[in-house]
Amino acid sequence: MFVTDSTLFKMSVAVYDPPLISTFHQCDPAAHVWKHDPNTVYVYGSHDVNSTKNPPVVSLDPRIYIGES
Amino acid sequence: MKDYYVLIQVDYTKPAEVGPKVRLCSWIASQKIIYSNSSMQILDLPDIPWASQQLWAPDVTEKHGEYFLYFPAKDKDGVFRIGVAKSHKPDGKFKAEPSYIPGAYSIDPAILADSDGCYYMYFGGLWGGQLQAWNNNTLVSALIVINREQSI
Repeated sequence: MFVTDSTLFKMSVAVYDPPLISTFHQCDPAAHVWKHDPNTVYVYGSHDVNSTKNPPVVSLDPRIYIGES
Repeated sequence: MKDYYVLIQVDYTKPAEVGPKVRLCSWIASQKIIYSNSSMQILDLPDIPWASQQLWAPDVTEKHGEYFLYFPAKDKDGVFRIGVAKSHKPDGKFKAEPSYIPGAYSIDPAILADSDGCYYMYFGGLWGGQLQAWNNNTLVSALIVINREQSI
């Protein structure tokens, strides 16, 4: 994987405690800062359907979500 | 294409490495982090005509105001393919193309938009990603695909 804005953001999770994002629980994130909205990090995750229901690691009903942080 | 740094993990018990780390620290310090409880569904498996299961691990890129979400999913034959969905907004909702990208296979696409206007996709994964079943872009062993997905 190459170091882009998304890679740097993912790495930040390992550097900071607690994680930057704690409001949804997913994996395989990709994150971007788009030119038209430079103050928002768009995080694209997958797998989990609803973080409030303690979903399994691999969901049987996969969806792709976006979360803003 | 200029040089880029590659994130590597040579030992799964240790963190991945990339350098120089100072770039990460300066980038984080410059960001105004705003937390939000919002999350929204931007693509769902039933909305992808060619896919059957295991939609995950997307990446997104932008060109001329249009956003392209690349994602892996299994096709109707159980083979991982990589598809694309489009939207005019980065938060969707994205509309999937009728078929996967011709010739695409395996999982975990990562998109690099280079400064010269070229776009590159990096992808792949062994076992769960089925990459071991392919040789020279040809599926050489469907039996391996079905029986040896150890990570799924």
